Amino acid sequence: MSGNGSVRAEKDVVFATAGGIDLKLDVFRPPAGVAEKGVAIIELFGGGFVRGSKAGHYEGVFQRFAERGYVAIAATYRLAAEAKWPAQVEDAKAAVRWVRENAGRLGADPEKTVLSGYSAGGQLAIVAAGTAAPEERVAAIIAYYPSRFGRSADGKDFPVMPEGASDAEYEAAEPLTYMRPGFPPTIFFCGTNDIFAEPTKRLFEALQEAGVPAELHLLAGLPHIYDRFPEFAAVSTELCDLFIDRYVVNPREYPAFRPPQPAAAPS
Amino acid sequence: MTTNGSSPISIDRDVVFGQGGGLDLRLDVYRPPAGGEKRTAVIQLHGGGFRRGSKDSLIANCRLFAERGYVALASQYRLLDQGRWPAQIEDVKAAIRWTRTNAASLNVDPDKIAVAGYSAGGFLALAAAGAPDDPALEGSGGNAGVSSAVSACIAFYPGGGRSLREEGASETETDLMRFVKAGCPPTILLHSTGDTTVPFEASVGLFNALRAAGVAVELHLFDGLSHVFDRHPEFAAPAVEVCDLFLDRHVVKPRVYPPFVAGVARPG
Repeated sequence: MSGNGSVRAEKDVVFATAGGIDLKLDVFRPPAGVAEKGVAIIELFGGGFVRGSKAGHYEGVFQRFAERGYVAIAATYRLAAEAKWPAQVEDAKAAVRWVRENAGRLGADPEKTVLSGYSAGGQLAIVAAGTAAPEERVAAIIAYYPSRFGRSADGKDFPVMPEGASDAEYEAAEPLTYMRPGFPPTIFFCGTNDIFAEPTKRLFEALQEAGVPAELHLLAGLPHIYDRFPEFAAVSTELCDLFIDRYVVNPREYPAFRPPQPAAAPS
Repeated sequence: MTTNGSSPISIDRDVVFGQGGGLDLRLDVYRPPAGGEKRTAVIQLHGGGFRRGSKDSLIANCRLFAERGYVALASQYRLLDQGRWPAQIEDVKAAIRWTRTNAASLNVDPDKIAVAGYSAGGFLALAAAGAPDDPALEGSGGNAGVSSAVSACIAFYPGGGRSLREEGASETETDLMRFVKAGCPPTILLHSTGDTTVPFEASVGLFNALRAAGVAVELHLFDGLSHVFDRHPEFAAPAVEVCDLFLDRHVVKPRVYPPFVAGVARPG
């Protein structure tokens, strides 16, 4: 493919078959010469569960992660027209299982698998991580403006939900449900003009309260999918890299701040 | 004037910008490399709980701002042993007035002056942003009659009111919320969740209050690091980058970003 630089891409690998549909993913490996981090990041696109595709979320993001040494994996999942919730969660988990099983040939540590998502994909990443079996566990979450949904004001079901879904089913699809001890370290991004800004902040606060490492970046005046504007994309990837690097790649702590002593202060 | 061989930033040190309590007040000017000037000044205010610290602690970040095209001014202000509140904010306002007065020679637009403060300096930045041209806080440090308003505020882990209260300032005077109001300039808050000197919830509270007041406000909460998280260069770099992006769209070239429309073809 064009414009790919030296990132090595492998397209349309079938990772599972569900409901008669082949589920595919694209693998983007670090260019030769870039220090490999041994970490795979699975990326889940957005689109409200009714549209979107693995190619849809700006290929640049996969390139940028690969250029920083990660194995970026753009995975698909079934949309509402193909299957109702929780098929999407099952597909996301199938992607995690495939990545963990194939970690060796991907050059990644299965225990260092990261799940990332945008909007609906962010919601999906959180729910998948919050309900993961041991073989579906992930080491960290990247959540860009994660969505949430409920019934419409006049009581209609959200498009991806099965007709007549129960309150419990809606609660199980709500990201806030999973913000509890044991959830993986998570970094959140959202623009303040995004309808998901306040919900994103609540997710962050709930994780902090649960004692889970959580980081929050709320960018002033920016709308939904703010990273479609290229100037914000690069720094967002850099912040993800810093977060994943210190929690997953090379887990480490930073020393506590100690005020300089007056005697040692420069004149 | 000095220049660094690896970076064409030029620095003027110890320029006297005003007087406070009988002292000459000084600042250092970091000018950007030729060609990339944003014609926007960022007055930088150091931390130290109002009891210590100096503009020398600002060297690294001033360089980062200057490399991105800003004129960074590392300003002194009187510490508590040199003057009680509001001496500190009076000195900051004197620095703003001096910068506006000298905008032409600094090659900045007099309407594009921002403040950036760290810890106690963050307190001062928020105070300066929220109380422009306030006769009770202007002091008499120089350039009287020139506006002390700023176009944007950058506050890293703002705090330090307790030191001011220990030296006689009132609860009301040192409540940062008193500076939060509709009409505050765009404000960006940066803090770390492991900060035990100034808990990050202080910045969340300021964010919520500024947002409720209709102010353009941005919040970055870096996980797990302690106070002065930007002493680690790998965090200072993206922190200054988000400040640059923030200043660029709110001050340098004010612009708005269109909302997302579902189903419309994506760029790129």
